Amino acid sequence: MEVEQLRSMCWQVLIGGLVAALLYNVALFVYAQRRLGLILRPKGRALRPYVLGLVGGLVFSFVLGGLNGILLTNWRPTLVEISTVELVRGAGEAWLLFLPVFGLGWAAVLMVVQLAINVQPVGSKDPPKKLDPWWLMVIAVDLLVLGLAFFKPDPFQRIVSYVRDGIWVTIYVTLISFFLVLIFGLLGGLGRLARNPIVRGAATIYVEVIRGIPVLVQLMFWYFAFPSVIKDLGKLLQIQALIDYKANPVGMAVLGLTFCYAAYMSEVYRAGIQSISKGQMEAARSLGMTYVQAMRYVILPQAVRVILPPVGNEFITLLKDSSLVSVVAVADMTRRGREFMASNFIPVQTWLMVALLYLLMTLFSTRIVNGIEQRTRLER
Amino acid sequence: MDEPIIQIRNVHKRFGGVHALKGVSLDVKRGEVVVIIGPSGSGKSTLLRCINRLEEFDEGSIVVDGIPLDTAANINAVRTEVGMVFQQFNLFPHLSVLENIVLAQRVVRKRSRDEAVQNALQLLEKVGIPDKADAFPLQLSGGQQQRVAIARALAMNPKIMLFDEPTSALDPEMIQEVLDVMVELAREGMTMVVVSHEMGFSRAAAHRAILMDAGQIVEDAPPDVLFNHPTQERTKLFLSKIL
Repeated sequence: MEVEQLRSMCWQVLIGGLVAALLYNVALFVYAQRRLGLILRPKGRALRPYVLGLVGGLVFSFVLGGLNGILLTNWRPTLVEISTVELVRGAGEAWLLFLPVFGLGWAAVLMVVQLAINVQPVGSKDPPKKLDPWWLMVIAVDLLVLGLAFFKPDPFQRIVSYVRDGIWVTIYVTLISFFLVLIFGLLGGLGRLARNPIVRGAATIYVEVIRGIPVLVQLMFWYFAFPSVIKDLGKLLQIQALIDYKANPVGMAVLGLTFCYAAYMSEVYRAGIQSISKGQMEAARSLGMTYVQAMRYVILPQAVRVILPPVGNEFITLLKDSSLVSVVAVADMTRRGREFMASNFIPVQTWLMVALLYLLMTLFSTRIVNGIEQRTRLER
Repeated sequence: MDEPIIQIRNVHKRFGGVHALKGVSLDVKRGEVVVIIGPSGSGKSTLLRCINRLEEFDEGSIVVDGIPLDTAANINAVRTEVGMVFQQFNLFPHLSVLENIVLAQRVVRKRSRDEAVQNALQLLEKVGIPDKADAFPLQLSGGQQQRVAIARALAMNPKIMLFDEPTSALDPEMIQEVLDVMVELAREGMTMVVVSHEMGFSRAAAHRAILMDAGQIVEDAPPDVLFNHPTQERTKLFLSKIL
């Protein structure tokens, strides 16, 4: 490809990212206005801080988002020609990855304004709604990462650039596994509560066995032992496809994590379903609903609200335990960190950065789970 | 002569070592209102719960409106014809009052949403709380919740209504509003089996009163006979304690 062409592609990606950030800010502005009544007031002395807050928030989040996008992609104007391909890919990734962070600066300014003035939302008698102050912690860690990368690009920016693709691996291994865990955990939980003794027994054995084996050992089994079992089986049955079987590291990692976490999750589901009074099931059945209908429309919607905190907890534990897949040849964040250390011999900086990146992800997830929990709470 | 809508024949039920029902037989005719009384542990709730098979029984047979309670399909068919009201109301707390009444109509009866909502609003009118459609169950008083529960059961157009101590969990001043709805229902000709010690309701609406003790029917008579001139010693003893 021509350098010119690449360069224009590169600008398209960056401009696309800026547009996305702008839309994100507009959405956040509308949200803040509607929920908090913070920004625009028809008249009054207190207008100026809000205008300042709006402008400041926009600038702040653009700077923050821009830094996130640009710094982390190794962008140096003089090097554009050399690493354009890398830049295009990296800029796209970085924008996407840190899109949620763009708004944080904005949120921080809103929060400071609100805390400073302690205003009443427009036209409301309710006490002012506070933005969750724990977001400040997410912002602080984000700023720390950015600050280190900005003021000490060597080695911190190099580390982030190097482990960047590992961040993606960590995220998608976690998300795919968690999605599967939610499904199989539900099946396991229902199995544990089944009236049929064979189903119940099978589910119980599964849960008890899996919980008794360390997840690291399970991952080793799926990656190293399972493929050779398949091969031996192929030899025994004379099936060439099985003899040629080769384990896919990511596939086996997802399988291992899912298999293990579904066992824990089925206990969470079971506890949640059992916490709903028996009368609910009886009422639903007495109206002629089948077991499945009663579960779907009556029991599970209530159980989900009960189990949300432990499910969120499982997600965060899974996110952290996904670092174990680094031992089975998956190039996740931890493994990329180890590779970087092996060639640069700076363990303190490397693991500090990796730890901060994990912390950023887990703190962010905690806030999201917390928000969902607040929203779905049942009036009692 | 009409065949009885509920035919209970020699039903036995054991909970572990406890013999809760010892060969109970009972016929209920179409449009009849039957009140069951008895000391706690006498098996009256268990018998009621056997009629729509919320409780499995070990021996005997029950036929409801010509359908024997045997296969899963038959049990579900019976449940759609039999409405049940519980002591603890058992409304669905995550759904609004309206949605509580709409849900089973949609899922079980496959009615359109418009039709189900229409029906629900009419029933709320009937039980006297049309303004509570958008409230959530836990925002209502016990009496209001129980009336919603009755409306929810009626929405399925049942042929029979079972009441399991519908007023036992209510404050005294709320009992009457629920009983009024039940009396009205009895006047309209609904077949009802009611486990309740409310004498007012029995006198106003019941055709028969039954005393159960230790898993058996002790006496079965019109309410004024059973309450005023009981023939069995056990009935006299029980009535002397609750009156």
